[in-house]
Amino acid sequence: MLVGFKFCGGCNPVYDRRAAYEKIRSDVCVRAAERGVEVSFEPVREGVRYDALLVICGCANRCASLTAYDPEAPRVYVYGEGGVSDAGLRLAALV
Amino acid sequence: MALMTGEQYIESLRKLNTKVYMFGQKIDNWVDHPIIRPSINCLKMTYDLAQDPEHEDLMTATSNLTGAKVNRFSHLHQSTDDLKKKVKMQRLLGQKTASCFQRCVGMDAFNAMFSTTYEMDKTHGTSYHERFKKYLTYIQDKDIVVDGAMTDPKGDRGKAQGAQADPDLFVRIVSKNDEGIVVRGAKAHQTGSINSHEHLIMPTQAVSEDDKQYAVAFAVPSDAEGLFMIYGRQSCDTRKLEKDADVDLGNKRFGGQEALVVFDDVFVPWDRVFMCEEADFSGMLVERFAGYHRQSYGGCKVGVGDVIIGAAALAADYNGAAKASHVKDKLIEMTHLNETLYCCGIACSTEGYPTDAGNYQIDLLLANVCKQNITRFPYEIIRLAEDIAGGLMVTMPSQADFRSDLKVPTKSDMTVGQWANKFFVGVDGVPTENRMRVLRFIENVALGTAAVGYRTESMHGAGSPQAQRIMIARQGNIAAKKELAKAIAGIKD
Ligand SMILES: Cc1cc2nc3c(=O)[nH]c(=O)nc-3n(C[C@H](O)[C@H](O)[C@H](O)COP(=O)(O)OP(=O)(O)OC[C@H]3O[C@@H](n4cnc5c(N)ncnc54)[C@H](O)[C@@H]3O)c2cc1C
Repeated sequence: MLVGFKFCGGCNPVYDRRAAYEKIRSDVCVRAAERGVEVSFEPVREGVRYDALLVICGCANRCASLTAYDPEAPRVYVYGEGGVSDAGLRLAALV
Repeated sequence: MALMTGEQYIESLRKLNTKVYMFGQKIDNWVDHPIIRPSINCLKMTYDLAQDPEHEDLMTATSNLTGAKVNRFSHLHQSTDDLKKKVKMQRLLGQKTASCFQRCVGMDAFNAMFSTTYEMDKTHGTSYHERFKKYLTYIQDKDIVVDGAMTDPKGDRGKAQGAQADPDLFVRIVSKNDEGIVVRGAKAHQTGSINSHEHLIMPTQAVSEDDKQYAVAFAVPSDAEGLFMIYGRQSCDTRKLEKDADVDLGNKRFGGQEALVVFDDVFVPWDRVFMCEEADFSGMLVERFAGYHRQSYGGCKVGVGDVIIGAAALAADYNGAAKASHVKDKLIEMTHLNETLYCCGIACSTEGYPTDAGNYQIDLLLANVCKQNITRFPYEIIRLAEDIAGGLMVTMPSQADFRSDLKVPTKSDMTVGQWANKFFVGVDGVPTENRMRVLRFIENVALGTAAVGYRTESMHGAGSPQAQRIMIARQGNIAAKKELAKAIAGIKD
């Protein structure tokens, strides 16, 4: 399974986006491994098909541009510390 | 070509033969000069962040000219979303450098030049727009820095270009031939000029038909024959020359830069000329550049403001005053002022619209309101930071004293460093040096090298306050407002 991740530009983030990404990635990998599924994460690229996109935004405005990327892939957004665990669960359910 | 890395940018500067003078000397290795280097580091940040997945969404864009990924600083805005992202990118860079990062003048010049040349060609049958597109494609492809240069020395402010005692006080065309034009004059206050690979020159103000040799726009490499720069000195700049300079600088790694750029009969080939005596379009070019640049300040100064607010809050923590209600209220006021500036930057972007050429223009009234507030609020923000910091930010001993091993021959037999550290400690558990560092940072922005960018540039950059008031008067729609008042008050003419 392949997850593409994308950060917003980070002009005024209200939490540590990098730490959130690391936590979500590790949670998803652990949960998927329990089901015997291997998941890899990569910075999202144009023209690549993904099983899901993880979009890590610094605030609720969620201004990251996604138009250039796989339109079919379901998107999971995280935009605050409080949403990190939930985003991990939602993403794990998709892969 | 792919986007340059920060290191490649520095190396590309070394290949230029830019002529730089400072303190009456020619500076050959200006890239590594301790006074200049912090300003280069700021520009390097515009490259570093473009390579960083955590920031590339703001720092890069897809070129409408080539479809390639380009640094947003060389992008033509294609939507209001692009205009907003420009402001957010500038806020980000202000946060990362706490300085003027110098690359926005070029971006603002590109966007103004793109739409003005299009309209100029329609009226005059010229071919400047295609030329400019080729030039910008080259800039995007090479990912290089361009100084958008507008301000002339101007001599007697009460006189037009041609009426000056010295005709060179505004950049002008001195001759033309089949190959191109020769220009003479100077541009003053040029932000980042030495750190730029290219210069894109525009008139400083509208030009009348009588003075049409001053209606000129063109691009030249920064190391063109006949072009040189004289570095502008900043308050406390020579602290950067001191041995092991660090704490006393307040911001060791980053800084701004301005210079006088002189054109002593510089030849410009036709493919780099974008306006040549079309005086009727000089006003449009100036107004559009100024509009974009007045929007810019709603991003960059806000980012620096973010750092200042953080520094004031830290100073209060280290002083043991963070719980005082007036300190909390002052931090709220600083945030309110800073975010008001951001509101203006975002508002004039959201209300943007497409030009005839297709790129997006900001709302002119709101951009002028933005810049008018910029001429005031940063002063209040830094005043409040000085209030919270306390007097030590300007009276503390030097880094050398804090680190000195020299024994003071008194009863306690302590060193100068021990005395300084003993008496300038704040709350328990915070090293005195941390307190000194944050106070020196505030000093730097309030009255050191960074005050150039945060204070006086806020006042005069992109035009002095009165220039915005003239635009606000023009755009204010007073006639419609009178009609509103008449309708409500029941006045029938
Ligand atoms: C830090 C800094 C960075 C800058 N960076 C750039 C840059 O990168 N590129 C660039 O092109 N420019 C740059 N500028 C220049 C900036 O746009 C000018 O400073 C500004 O336009 C004001 O011009 P001036 O400094 O010559 O002041 P002046 O024009 O001398 O203005 C001083 C005062 O006189 C008033 N005044 C001037 N002329 C008249 C008149 N005819 N009638 C009535 N009142 C008048 C003004 O309103 C103001 O109050 C920068 C300026 C600063 C301070």
